[in-house]
Amino acid sequence: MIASSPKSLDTMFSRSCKFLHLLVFLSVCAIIVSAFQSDELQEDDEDWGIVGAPVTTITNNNNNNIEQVTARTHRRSSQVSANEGSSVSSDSKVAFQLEHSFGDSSDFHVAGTFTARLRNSHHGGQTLTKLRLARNALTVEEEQAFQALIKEDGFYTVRVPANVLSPGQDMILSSVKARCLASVNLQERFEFYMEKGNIIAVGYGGSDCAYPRNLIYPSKWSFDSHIVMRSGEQASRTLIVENEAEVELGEDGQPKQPVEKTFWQKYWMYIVPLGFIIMNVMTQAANLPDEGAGQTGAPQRAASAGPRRR
Amino acid sequence: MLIVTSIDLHTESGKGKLLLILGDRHLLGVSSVDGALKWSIESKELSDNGEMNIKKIVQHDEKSIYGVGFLSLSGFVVWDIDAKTGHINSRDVITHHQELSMNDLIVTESSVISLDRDGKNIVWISLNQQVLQIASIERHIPDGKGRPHLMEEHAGNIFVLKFKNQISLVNLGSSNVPELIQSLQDHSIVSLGIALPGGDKHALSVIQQVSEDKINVHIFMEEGDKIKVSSELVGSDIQRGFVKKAYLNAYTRNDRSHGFRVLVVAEDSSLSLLQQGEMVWNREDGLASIIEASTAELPLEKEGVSVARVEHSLLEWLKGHWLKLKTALMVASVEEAAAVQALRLKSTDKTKMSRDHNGFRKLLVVLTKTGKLYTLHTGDGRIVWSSFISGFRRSGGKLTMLKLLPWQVPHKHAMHENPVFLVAAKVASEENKFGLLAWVDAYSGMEINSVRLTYFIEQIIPLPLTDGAEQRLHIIIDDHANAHLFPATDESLQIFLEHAQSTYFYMTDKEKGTITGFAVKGPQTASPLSPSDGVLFRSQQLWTIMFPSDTERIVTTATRRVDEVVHTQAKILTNQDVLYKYLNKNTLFVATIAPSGAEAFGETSPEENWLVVYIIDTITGRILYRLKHSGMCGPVHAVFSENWIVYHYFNVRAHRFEYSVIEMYDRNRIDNKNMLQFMLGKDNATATLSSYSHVDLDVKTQSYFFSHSIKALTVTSTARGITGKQILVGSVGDQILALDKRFFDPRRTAEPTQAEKEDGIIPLTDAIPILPQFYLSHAYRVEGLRGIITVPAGLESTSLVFAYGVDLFYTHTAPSRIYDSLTGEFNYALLLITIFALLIAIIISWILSERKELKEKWK
Repeated sequence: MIASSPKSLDTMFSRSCKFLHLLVFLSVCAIIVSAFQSDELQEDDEDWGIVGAPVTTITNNNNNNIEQVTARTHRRSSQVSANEGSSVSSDSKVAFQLEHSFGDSSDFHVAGTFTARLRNSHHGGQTLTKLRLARNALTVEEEQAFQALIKEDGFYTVRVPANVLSPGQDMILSSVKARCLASVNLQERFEFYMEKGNIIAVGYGGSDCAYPRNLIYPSKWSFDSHIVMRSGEQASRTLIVENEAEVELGEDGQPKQPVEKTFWQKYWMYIVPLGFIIMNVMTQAANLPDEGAGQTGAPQRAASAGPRRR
Repeated sequence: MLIVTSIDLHTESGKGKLLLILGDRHLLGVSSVDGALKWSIESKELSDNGEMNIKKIVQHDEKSIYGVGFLSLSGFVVWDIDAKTGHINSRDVITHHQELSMNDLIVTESSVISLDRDGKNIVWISLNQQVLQIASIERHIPDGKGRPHLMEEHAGNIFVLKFKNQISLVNLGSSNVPELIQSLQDHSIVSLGIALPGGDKHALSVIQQVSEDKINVHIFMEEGDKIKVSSELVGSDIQRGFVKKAYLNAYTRNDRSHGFRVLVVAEDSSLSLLQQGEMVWNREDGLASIIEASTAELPLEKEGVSVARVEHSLLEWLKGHWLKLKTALMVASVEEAAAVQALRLKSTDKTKMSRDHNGFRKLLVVLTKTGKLYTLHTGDGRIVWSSFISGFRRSGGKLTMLKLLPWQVPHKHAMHENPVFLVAAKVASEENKFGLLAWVDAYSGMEINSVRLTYFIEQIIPLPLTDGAEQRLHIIIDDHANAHLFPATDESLQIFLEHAQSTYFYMTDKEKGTITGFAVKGPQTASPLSPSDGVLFRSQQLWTIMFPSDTERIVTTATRRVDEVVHTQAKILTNQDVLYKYLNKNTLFVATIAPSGAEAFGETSPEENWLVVYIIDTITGRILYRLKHSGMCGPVHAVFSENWIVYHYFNVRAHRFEYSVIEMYDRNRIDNKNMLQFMLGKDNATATLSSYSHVDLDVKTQSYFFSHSIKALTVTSTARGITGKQILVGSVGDQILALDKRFFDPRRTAEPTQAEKEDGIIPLTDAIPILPQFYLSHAYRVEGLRGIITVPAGLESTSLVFAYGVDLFYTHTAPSRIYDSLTGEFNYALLLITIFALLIAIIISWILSERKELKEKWK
């Protein structure tokens, strides 16, 4: 995406100022998108229509982009272009169906249509952007089935094709307890994990769901969809200079097993008081014979004891 | 296919061996002295169609070899080849009017033997005369049933025909008429024939399984034209199963006659040597193929039992002392010295058959590939009992051992029950596939029960529920994703029904690259109790995760241990901040690599390789975290414990192995970040969490280089989970390394602050260091290391480690050193002397001070 923006900048630079504004905005958007690895939210509906540019210019621009896409894919592999031919319309829009089931994993019905724009990523392969869902209104039977599900605390299951470019047999399923949706008034949240046009998994559920789940019926029977697209993180690595590491290694204590303690280090707490006591005893013992010997030591003692008495 | 035979060759430089290598296109003669290629014959030199027609090679004399093959379907071709030059001397064709059986061809000393296509006649040619001869099997061996086949094993002119119900040994001697020597019924194994030293005698042995515990060893010796037959009945252990293979060996007896010994491989892969009608020795080589290992507590030491033991051991005690005295006086023989050594080992507490206070003594229960259970004592590694699960034997089809699970652990009110293990296996044959279960008593090895299920076992899940007798509830998932509850009793059903609403499971299909989640749906039938098949529950598919097959391939998955104990839910930092660990047990770690990364090493560029790791909630199927490592490839080893995962892989770009660590913290609970609240218990740590509630993970990662490729990866486990962890690595050199978990801390920085240092953060290094002290296996190598299991000891500081491969290794490790008991080197004597000295000193000084005070008072 980043690679394509400067290129288009070159070609369009001579055009009007409006175009420039728009393109700067678009490329900023593109850079943001690529930097965050397309964590694109549904709320950006209006974003593409603003900036004061006429609608026609945007579609033109889009069309240019699309031409590029198809041309490239034709070169890359015949398989992909064949896939595109079947499901991608001329404006490079992709549509696939959302199906749902009420507690029975074999009985699925169409519940809505996802539409998305197909984009070329600079790594090769395509990515989906601007994913939207047009939900069909629930029929009376479906409403009843949903109510029954809420009552028995059953699972509401949705599924989408694993390959959105050429939908096949493989389906990605996701379920949630019907009460979870009911408690948040059918505010549903789709979390798509995608890799080059393939859906790996869909995290489906209400915005939050506390336990225990109480029996609450929604006030309205229309879904409020919120779609998040994720592709995960790229591992990075903190690199450091190796010789520094070797120097520091010895200091941390863990890799180095402590040196075997000496006898003194182990038992000093016993030996020191013992030493004190012995010294004490020795001095006492030394004093005793002095006193026993008579007057010889007395003047000294008196001299030393003197100040205390006074 | 390559067939390699060796022949003796006399050359100018003396005797040597020539290796003959028969391949699809060539016959090669290779010198065994220096490996030089002496000659080679291409297949087109032998036949017109270019196919290798030689099926068997045999030495003719010192100078030439015979190559024998079939001529289309109705004849033999014999090539005479010069052994020195590889020159084809002659090519003889002997045709037969009937078609020959292409699968039956043996070349004995003097003849080429085959059967005709219907197996009705023996067809042979004598190598010297090269005349084709025929004999009817029915006439010579009237009791043989069905179509016979020629067995590869032969000795001299004796060959073996295998019928449906028996094997028949036939002698094709100089009389040129097949003579039946003996027919043997029952399960019989034929050994390869051997040539006896000094002469043209040959021998062959047949091991006949007469009954479960008796085998008959038949030796057939060819002496000129005579055949000598001898038989010996040898007792055999039922627990070893039937004989699988036999190898004959000859020796010269005292009376210069030939004696024979047979090395026998039994069904459980044990080796035994039979000689003179006795089992001389046996080795439990089945222990080299352990696939699952677990531990059981030893029985409690019972009072009242010990009296008899003391009386019994009084005599032994005297005897032991007598022996010890003899060794001390240096008059003991070698046997007596060994006996003293054994006594010493026996007298230590280590080898007692009862539970110890510290929980170091345990029974290691291991399941081997052949379906045999062994119990080893951790004290000295001796085999306490071994048992061949009879319910699994002769099940028909390919038997695969699946799991060994603790079924009943003596606990609480079921304290005096014996521990019981559940062993699961599956059988896949052409007709059907099914599962097998057996329950085995861990103290006696007795098989309590075994059942043959009507369905195939895909997965066995132990539930965190037990019934009144402390039997653990298990659900078995079959290949239709149905769940079967065991034990199939009313009680367990009642217990399970309470939790059935919130029972989920998932299945991983590595080939398709999918992970599928299911919820269990109520019991299927009204009267569901079928003790042999469990209670049937249907399941509902809830979610699917599908890794695109062109970009990702599942290589490794890891989950937390079911029995893991976590001491604290939070990590309190020095700055009083609290990090809450994300401890959801329903978390799965999955690693996928690029399909090109599985190709031969070095054939792909770093750009074509990547490793993607996922953290998945197995209840909702939500991907909680996805991390892509570019330029990395497998093999991937991973270990998941508490809130972290450590995994090992290869960095193609840097040409080095690497470890990465992922630590997950729960941001949702960051509101009650205050340590005081946490200490007062005013947090939501005990609130019930729903998997459907929003998860906000704070993931920290880091990568480190590591110099080795590894074979196994696991983590220590302790009784309360307080002690720090060590990551145990089975190195490529078959050693066990214990690396401190702190090396894998993602919070490591190059220059940690004072606060971080207080938290125990080691300065960041580029690689995980390997210091000599880390080797838990010291200088030993655990040959062919395949797995390591860790078990908590009774002491919190210690974890028991058992590593298995071809060798077995057992040790203790204390990741944070032994802080809860005194080490063996502690000097008790010095402590006592110190205390004693201090006491005396106190008394003396007290007396002295009393005296002094008294004197002062007198002044």
